[in-house]
Amino acid sequence: MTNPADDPAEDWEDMLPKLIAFTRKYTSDRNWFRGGGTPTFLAGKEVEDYVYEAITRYLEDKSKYKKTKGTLMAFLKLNVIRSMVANDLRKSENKLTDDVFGLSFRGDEGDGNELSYEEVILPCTEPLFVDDVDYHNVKDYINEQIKGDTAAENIFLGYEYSLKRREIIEEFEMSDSDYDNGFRRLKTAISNASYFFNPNKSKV
Amino acid sequence: MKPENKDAKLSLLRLKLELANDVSKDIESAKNYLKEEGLNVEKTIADGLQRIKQIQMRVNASKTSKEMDDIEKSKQEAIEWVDRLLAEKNISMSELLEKEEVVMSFRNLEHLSEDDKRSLLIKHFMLKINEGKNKK
Repeated sequence: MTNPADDPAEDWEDMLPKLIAFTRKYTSDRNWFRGGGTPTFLAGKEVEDYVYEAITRYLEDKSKYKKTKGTLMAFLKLNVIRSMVANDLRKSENKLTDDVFGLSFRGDEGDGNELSYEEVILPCTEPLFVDDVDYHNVKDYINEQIKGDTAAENIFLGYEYSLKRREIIEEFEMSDSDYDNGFRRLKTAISNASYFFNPNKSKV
Repeated sequence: MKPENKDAKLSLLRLKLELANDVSKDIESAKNYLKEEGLNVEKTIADGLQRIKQIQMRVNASKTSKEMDDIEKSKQEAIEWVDRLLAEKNISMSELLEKEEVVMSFRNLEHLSEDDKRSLLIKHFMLKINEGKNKK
């Protein structure tokens, strides 16, 4: 099964832990975009189910994956997120975003769409985040938490302007370890914000 | 949703994705994160690989079943085609074999039974039908 000689892209032993880690991390702080008690999104499913759903989709029709648009990992990550959104769409209780239908299937495979998988992930992700959070306040809160921490501030600013890790390192003339340390501190600030802005907590 | 809030939301989404990408950037980061999450990493991977194997088997079985169905359909089409040609053109199976230029190396047409000829014609037209389908 994990035989790179058959298809080098399908090294499941390498990809599976990465996909599970991605999915768990992606859903772990959902309290500031879906809230702990939401009836949609993860209802009735384990986090890992999305991973296997994405893998099944790929194995059922490998022609959907286009190497020119990115790695198989990126394709699978996108399908993990698509499965989450699709799961939401099936729930009549979903009233947490105002544009779920408009955004969820943007950038589907085929139809001459040449966007890379990484580019498609963002609009597919948006419906999973509620609209009734004041994201300006969230940003202000994070900015306040990292005030005076130049590396973390620069990284936060970089992501605001859609820069990637490597671009941020070059733009702000950081070393790799400066970035890693700054990103770690930024993660703490985000984690604090996700707790602080938990919609359920604020309602209690 | 106000445009300013949408922009703020998008920049936080990028960060959210980066956090998930960061823990899955390589196998070591992924395993460390899963350990921190309290998972038995080796068991999770072993169980997962087994699950993928089952998915692959299920997908392969489904594909095989579909292929078998397709073969059966092509065979039926070929049988109908052969019967119709023989009836409409009022020719023998030997004549049809020659007309279709069916190559029978080291076989002598005269020594073939009627069943053999019919079988050859059906196989010949099955190939033709499948070629036609593949071109579409």
